[in-house]
Amino acid sequence: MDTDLVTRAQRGDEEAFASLAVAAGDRLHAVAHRILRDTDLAEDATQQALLTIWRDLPQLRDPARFDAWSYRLLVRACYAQGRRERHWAPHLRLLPSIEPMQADGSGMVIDRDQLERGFRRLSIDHRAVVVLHHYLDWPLDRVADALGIPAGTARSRLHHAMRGLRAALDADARPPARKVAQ
Amino acid sequence: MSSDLDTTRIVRSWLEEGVTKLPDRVLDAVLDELVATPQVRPRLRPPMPIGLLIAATILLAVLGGAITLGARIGDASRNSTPGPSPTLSVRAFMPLPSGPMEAGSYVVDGALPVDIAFEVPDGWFKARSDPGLVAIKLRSAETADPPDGGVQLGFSVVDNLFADPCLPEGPMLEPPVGPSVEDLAEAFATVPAYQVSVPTPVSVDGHVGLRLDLDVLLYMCPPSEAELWRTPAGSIRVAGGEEELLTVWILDVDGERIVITEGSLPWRTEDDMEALHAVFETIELSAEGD
Repeated sequence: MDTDLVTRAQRGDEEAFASLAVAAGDRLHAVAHRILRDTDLAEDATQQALLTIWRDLPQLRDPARFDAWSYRLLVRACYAQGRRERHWAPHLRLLPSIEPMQADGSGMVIDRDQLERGFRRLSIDHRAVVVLHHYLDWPLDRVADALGIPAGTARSRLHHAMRGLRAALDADARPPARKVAQ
Repeated sequence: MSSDLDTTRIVRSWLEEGVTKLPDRVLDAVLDELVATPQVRPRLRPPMPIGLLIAATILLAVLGGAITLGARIGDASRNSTPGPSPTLSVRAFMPLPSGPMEAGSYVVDGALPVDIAFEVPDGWFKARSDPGLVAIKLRSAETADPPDGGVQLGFSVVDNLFADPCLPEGPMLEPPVGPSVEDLAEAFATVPAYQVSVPTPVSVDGHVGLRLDLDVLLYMCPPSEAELWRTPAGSIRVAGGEEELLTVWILDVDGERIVITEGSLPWRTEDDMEALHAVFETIELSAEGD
C-alpha cells in the first residue's frame, strides 16, 4: 500500500482516499464475502468498513500498518453485520443432508454444501481467522496482528474452526443412520 | 474420515470460489458519503479541568451579559428593541430524574472519585446514577422503548470483576483485581464468557490508559444476563437481554482508575454510533473538586 496515499488521506484528502478505496475495495469485499457468505451483507460490511477507515484514519499512527488495520475494521464490520443477521433472521434449523458421497465427482458438490453449513455454524471470529489464513494465505502471526488478538488465540480459533469443518465433511461421508426397532 | 491435509485442501479450494470485485455502486456510495463523514482527529488539546470549564462558562455568561448590556445601552440610545441575551449553563447530572435529558452540558459530581463533564444533543436519556456507576442512553430509531436504546455511554469505578458473569451474584475474581489500569485490563482477559481484544494505549481528555473491546458472549449464559463488575459501593454493571459489545477505556485520572464504556446492542444503527462517538468527544475529566 502506498503510504504517501495513506498520509494524504489522513489529512483529509478525499482523492487520495478514493485511490486507497479503489485499491483496497476488492480485497476487502472478497474477504467480507467469504466471512459472511452473503452478497448483500458483504457489500454492507465493506461499505461500512471503508467509511470507518476514512473516519478513523487520522488516528492510525503508522501508515505502513494500513493493510492490517483495514482488515481489523473490516472484520468488526462483518461482526456487526453478522449480529444483525442473527438478530433479525427467523429461527431456522437446517435439516441434515441424507445424500451419500458419490464416487463420480458429485462428491465435491456435496463437499461445498457441507462446508457451507459447517462454516456458517462458526462464529465470525473463527471464520475471520480461517479466511485470512487460508484465503489470503497469511501466516497466523500476521492474522493475529491484524485482528488484534494474541497469536495463541488465532491458533486456537483456527484449530477449532478446522476441526468443525472437518467434522462437517466427515458427517457427509458417513452412511445415513438406520432406524432400529425398539 | 478426512485427513487434516484433505480438509485444508478442500477448504482452500472452496474459499477460492465466489465474488472478488466490489460493485462500483458500493464504492460510489462510500465516496459520496465522505463529505458527510467527518474524520475523527486525535485529541491534542490539553485537558481543561472541570473547575476551569465552569469558570469559563461563567465568564462567557458574564461577557455575554456585558455584551447584551452594552447592546442595550447602545440600542437604547437608538430607541431600538434589544435581542435575547445568550444563555449558557452546565447542569448537575446526579439530581436529574431518570428519563429524557435536555440538550446541553452536564457535570457528574459526587458519584465517582473524579468529576466528569459532557455534552449531549436531544435524544439522550439518563439511564443510571448509582454510586460508582453512571450511564446515559440514546433513543434508538429502531426501538420504541427508550431505556433499551441501541447505544449507551457509561462511567464507572470497578472494584472487582465477577469470576463467572453467568452466575447471579456469583463469586468475584480471587485474588481481586489490582489497583492499576493494567491490572484491570489483564483481569478482563481471564474471565470466561468475555472475548477481549488486546489492550491498546489511549488518551482521553489528556488522561492516559488502555482501551479494549469486550464482547460479552451472552449465549454462554443461559439466563441471557451477565454480571460484569461491582463498584466499591456495591453497584453492579449488568449486560443482558441481547449480546452487548463494549468498548472499554480504563483511564488513570490523577491517580483514580476510571472506566468509560461505549456499549452497543445488535440493533444499533450507524447513526447511533456516530452520536455516541460525538458525545464521547466532549468528555472532560478532572480530579474531584478541581
